[in-house]
Amino acid sequence: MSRLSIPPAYTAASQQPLATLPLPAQLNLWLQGSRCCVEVGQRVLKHQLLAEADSEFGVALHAPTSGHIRAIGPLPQALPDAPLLDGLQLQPDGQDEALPLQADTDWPALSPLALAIRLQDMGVMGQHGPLLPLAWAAAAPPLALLIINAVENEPFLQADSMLLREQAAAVAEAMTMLGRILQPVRLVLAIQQEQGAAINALRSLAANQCWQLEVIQAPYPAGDDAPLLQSLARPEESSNSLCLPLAGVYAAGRAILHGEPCISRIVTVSGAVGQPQNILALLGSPVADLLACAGLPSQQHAIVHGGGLRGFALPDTTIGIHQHSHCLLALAAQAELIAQPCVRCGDCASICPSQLQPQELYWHCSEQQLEQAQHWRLADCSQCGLCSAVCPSQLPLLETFRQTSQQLLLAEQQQSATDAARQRHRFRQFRLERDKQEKAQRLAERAAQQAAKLAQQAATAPSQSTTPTASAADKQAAIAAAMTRAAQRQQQRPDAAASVSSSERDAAIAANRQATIDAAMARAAARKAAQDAAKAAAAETSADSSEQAGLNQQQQALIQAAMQRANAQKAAAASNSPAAMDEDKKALIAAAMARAAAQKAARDAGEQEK
Amino acid sequence: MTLVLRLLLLLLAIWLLGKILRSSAQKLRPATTSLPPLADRIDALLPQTQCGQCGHAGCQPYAQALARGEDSINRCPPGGEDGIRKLAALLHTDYLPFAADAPPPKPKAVALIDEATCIGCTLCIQACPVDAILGSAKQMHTVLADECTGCELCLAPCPVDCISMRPATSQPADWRWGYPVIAIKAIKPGSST
Repeated sequence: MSRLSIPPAYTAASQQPLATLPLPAQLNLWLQGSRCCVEVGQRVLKHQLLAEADSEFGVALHAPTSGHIRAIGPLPQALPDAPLLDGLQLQPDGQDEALPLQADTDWPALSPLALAIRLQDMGVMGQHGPLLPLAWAAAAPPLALLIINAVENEPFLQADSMLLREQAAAVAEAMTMLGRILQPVRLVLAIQQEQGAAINALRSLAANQCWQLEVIQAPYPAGDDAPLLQSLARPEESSNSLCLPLAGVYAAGRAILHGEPCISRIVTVSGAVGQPQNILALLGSPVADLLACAGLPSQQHAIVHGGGLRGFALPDTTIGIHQHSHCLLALAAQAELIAQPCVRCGDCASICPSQLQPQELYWHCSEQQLEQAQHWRLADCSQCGLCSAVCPSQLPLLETFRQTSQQLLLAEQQQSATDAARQRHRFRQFRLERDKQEKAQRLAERAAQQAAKLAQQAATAPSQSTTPTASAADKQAAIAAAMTRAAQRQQQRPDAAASVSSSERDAAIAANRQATIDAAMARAAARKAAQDAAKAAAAETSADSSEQAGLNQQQQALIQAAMQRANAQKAAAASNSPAAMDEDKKALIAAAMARAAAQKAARDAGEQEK
Repeated sequence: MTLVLRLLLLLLAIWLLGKILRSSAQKLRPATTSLPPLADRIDALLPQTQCGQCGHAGCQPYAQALARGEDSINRCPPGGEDGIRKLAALLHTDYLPFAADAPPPKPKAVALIDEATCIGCTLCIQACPVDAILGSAKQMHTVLADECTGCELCLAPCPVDCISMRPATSQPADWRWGYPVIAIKAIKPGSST
């Protein structure tokens, strides 16, 4: 704000009674962390739910008046540069037809969490998100100190004072309600010495109440939440105390005690307007309507949203106000002022409430040296804007610190996201490796079980199974032996070839390679033959060694078992049907002959006995 | 005799002084902080997208290759030019522009599965280096947008091409303070909408 002349009449708005804004032609609402639950073209009634909170940090939105939904989608919002964010356009129909309000009669029985959820559903906002943070309410820590912050020591702000003057009884009611549900040890309403009329309005109410009035005399920025907590909380209270804005507390009282959702707020319209005043406006009322209500002269103006020190210019006046729009300023711009080099006057350092060196910080922030900015304690900057206001060189100190602080925050977030990605990737690699090992182990166990079962079968039914197993093992041993012989023959042949053509080096090398390959093959074949022989022997005698056998051996055992089963089936089939297959005809005939011989022998024996 | 005694005393004094200096030097020496291995320090600067655009199987293998001096610092598109500057500062080398054969840097995007088209083949789940895709066989899959690094490794294996990269949508939380300038605009009194 350093480039704009600030008129001295900061408190001009408090001289006028509270005005009410006539119904605007259009309301531009902001879907801030909420999910729309109405459709375009739908008629909605006053207090009807338009959007419900979709996260811990969002709040519900209710229709400020009856009318039709004109559009849902990106709209310019009340932030610097008016970014297009999700919003909702409501065209009032002028009838102001309302849903009946349902007050909570059982509110004293509410728990802090239930209260926080009810307030979120009623659209009551605090500094960030719902008035009572849901995470805090869910943890429900014992509350030592609850501060209701009604201090306004930034230039031009008068909305909270006006609220106290007009609605002192309602505010007292709301504080009693909060005191009863949240059970703080101490409930304090903080107010500033300059807010004289508001103090008078409260003094009469403060007697015999669960809350007390605390008058702050320190200058700006003593009314911010952090300095206020620091000055009001005793050392033992500082860890479990909470600071709530007055407007939110008033809205909470209306919501819980009267069932009325938050649909309006008081806005101070001041600066170079015809009549500085406080205006009660519906949420979503365009900024232009408020300025027109206060009488804006036709000059070049910067429309500033927020207080005289921390506000930001709005490029667009169709933007609707929201729950944090406590002040609108029309400031006559001086001739364009260009930032001059720092003259090292030290005014910013002497006025800084955090005892920083803004001139050093500015140097590092404008050069984007984040590490140096951190070293000069940028994190301690409360962004009060006093350095910008006193700078004789019109340096945009506050704006630079804001931007750099946000960059630091962003860099931190990015770093934590990167670390999380690294951790997830490492865990994935670990998981894949572990799964692989577990699978191998599982296979080995299963094979061992199979082998054990096979051994058991062999032990229980030796008469049926040993003969085919033995024959299969014999066959395999014979095949292996044949392969070994062939390999030996192959091995001898290249040796001879090599000796003959020893003169040619390349041929010799090739032959050598061939020889090594053949030797390896022969070794492998011999090993296999030995393994098969050993297995056959093991299967015939006992299955002691089968559990220790490796994966290959187990596979072979499985194959053997399968062969054995097939043989057994064949044998059974052969015994049932005389029509035998060609290949084992011989075996069948032999079996049949054996059976016949046995029968004959049995018959002969029977006859002899007779 | 006195001369010899004096010399001896002098030598003794020098020896004692040397002892004291040596012991104090050992005590007062600043504790040498052992830095983590160079590959880990390089890995800490890489963006951890695990996208493999550098030609390695992930950020850690690239970091190891850089630590061995086997690759150049300009092969990480997700790290951007800032990443190259940081790597150059760490490795005490000069800044290099992006390698000509490296893919150009892209704005960060998040994979989105068209859930109506997804056939539940689990191929993308196997491809995701950070386990950011949820789903099981013959069930619809979905991407955890918060965990997605935008590596695009899930696009190729998808047999029905149901995965697309979407830039992050604008949320109130994504809003940033801009360059410090206050715009001044002439408006007429009573002009609304």
